[in-house]
Amino acid sequence: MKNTVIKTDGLSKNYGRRIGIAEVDLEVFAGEVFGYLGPNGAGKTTTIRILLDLIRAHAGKAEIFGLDVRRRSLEIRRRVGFLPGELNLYEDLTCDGLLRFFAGLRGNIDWSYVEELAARLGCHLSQPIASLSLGNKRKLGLIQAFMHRPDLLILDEPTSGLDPLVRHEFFGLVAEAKEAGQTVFFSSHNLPEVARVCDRVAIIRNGRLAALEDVADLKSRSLRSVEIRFGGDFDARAFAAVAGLEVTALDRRSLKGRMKGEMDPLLKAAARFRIDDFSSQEPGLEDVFLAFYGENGHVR
Amino acid sequence: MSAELFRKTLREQRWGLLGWACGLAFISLFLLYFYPFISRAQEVLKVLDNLPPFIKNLVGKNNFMATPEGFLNLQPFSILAPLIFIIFAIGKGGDATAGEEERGTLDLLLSQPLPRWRLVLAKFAAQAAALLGLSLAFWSSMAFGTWLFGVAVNWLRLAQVIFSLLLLGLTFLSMSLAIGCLSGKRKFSLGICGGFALVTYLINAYAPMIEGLRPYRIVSPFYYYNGQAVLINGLVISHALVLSALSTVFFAAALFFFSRRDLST
Repeated sequence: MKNTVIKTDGLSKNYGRRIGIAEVDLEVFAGEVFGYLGPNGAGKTTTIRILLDLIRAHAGKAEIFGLDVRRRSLEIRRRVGFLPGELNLYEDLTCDGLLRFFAGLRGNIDWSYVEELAARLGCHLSQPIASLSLGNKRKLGLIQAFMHRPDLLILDEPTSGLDPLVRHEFFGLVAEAKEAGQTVFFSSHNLPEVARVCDRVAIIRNGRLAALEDVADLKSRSLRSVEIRFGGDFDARAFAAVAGLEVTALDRRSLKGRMKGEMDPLLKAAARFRIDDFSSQEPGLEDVFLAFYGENGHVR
Repeated sequence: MSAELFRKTLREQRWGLLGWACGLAFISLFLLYFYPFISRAQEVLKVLDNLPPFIKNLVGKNNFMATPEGFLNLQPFSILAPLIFIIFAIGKGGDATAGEEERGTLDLLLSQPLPRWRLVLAKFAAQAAALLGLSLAFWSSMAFGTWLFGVAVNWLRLAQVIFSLLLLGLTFLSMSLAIGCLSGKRKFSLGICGGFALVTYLINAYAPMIEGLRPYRIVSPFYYYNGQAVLINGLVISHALVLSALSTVFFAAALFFFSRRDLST
């Protein structure tokens, strides 16, 4: 039986008349990498801040490690590493000073692991925080989240501001955390990024949970926009039978459309003609959402 | 209390504290250096003693120039010293949690295993310690100045009035902390506490002259601070207890508000 790490039941939060989140039911299991996906303002940060007892829900309940997030918050936070979406650090400290401050609050930090994390992420600990770029501040935020090897990592938009190399290193850290049995709860508005590392994703939209999916399923159902430019005339009828293809624009030398599922049938059909260029783009989150759940969040 | 946070908060204040302490030392030495000249200028004293009670009460006590205690009771202990302590205290108290909240550093701090009450306690304790440091620096510079310039002032009485000043500072520190904890807005806390200080200072200053104001003097922390001229008459224990009780109530309110509120990002 799977151990539940995060469980929310009918979790709701309003900001005045505006809905923050409404009746969010989530279950995250031990050792999984769970993506919490949604556009900006959808309610991701609200959920996370309730889990950390920074704000309080109006209705419903939330538990981490089987402990109530409101009443047993201290025990929970001992075992959680957190990276906020909007990361603000003490500008009067150096990186080293900040990490030692947090290490002092937590106790029992293996400093050699902190140095290892800093080296992997390319963070120079002697630098003053005030002189750091946004990306370097995010690196420091990641180090403090990982440094006590927490049972649960709650990361709010962890890759924003990171350059591709550091992002790659970060995904390595997440994979290692998973291997070590840690659980990762990871919010993002970037579908390909979530698909790359997560086992399951929850999609939140306008404060409501729209879907909970295995990443493999989501990938197989994802829509990609495709464009093929041909080197000469081609026969559009050759594409009529391609499963999953929805043609959106067609002329004598090009075809544009949206492709659902595997690309293989499309590429085989196109290969019969001379191709000048072929492009395929990952769908944006909003596209995926609209494609599968429609405006009202009902599965199409 | 969290020792780490206490140390960090205290460390953040070191330069500010040094600046304020130097300012107080300068004021002490400046006033004590000039006192012998003023005390010898009998004509000036005569003019000052003939001022209408309205003016004398506004700035201090009657007979305020006749003795060193009277002079010092007027300046710095009637205006400058409380002003400095209150500015220091209100700024620090309002910044304790509301400043962190406004700068967006609170989320990360409270994601550590640190209960909210311990955060408030550690911040308050560090700022109270800074006020204590300021008081000690003030007493030291006053005592040094009296010795240096041969001004005969009882050092114990000096300690008593500065202790009363410390209690006044703690009252405003805890008040601004409580309002910061309630609102999460530093400037709001500064505004309310600054306004309260101004109004209650004026009530205390005008009450001896205006019959209608007299009953309201008891709402002014300044009355309990130095309403009985501590440097001349000694510390009034009941007044010190009132200021201590106010600080305790405001601190308890700060804990109550902060532990029950949604924190803003």
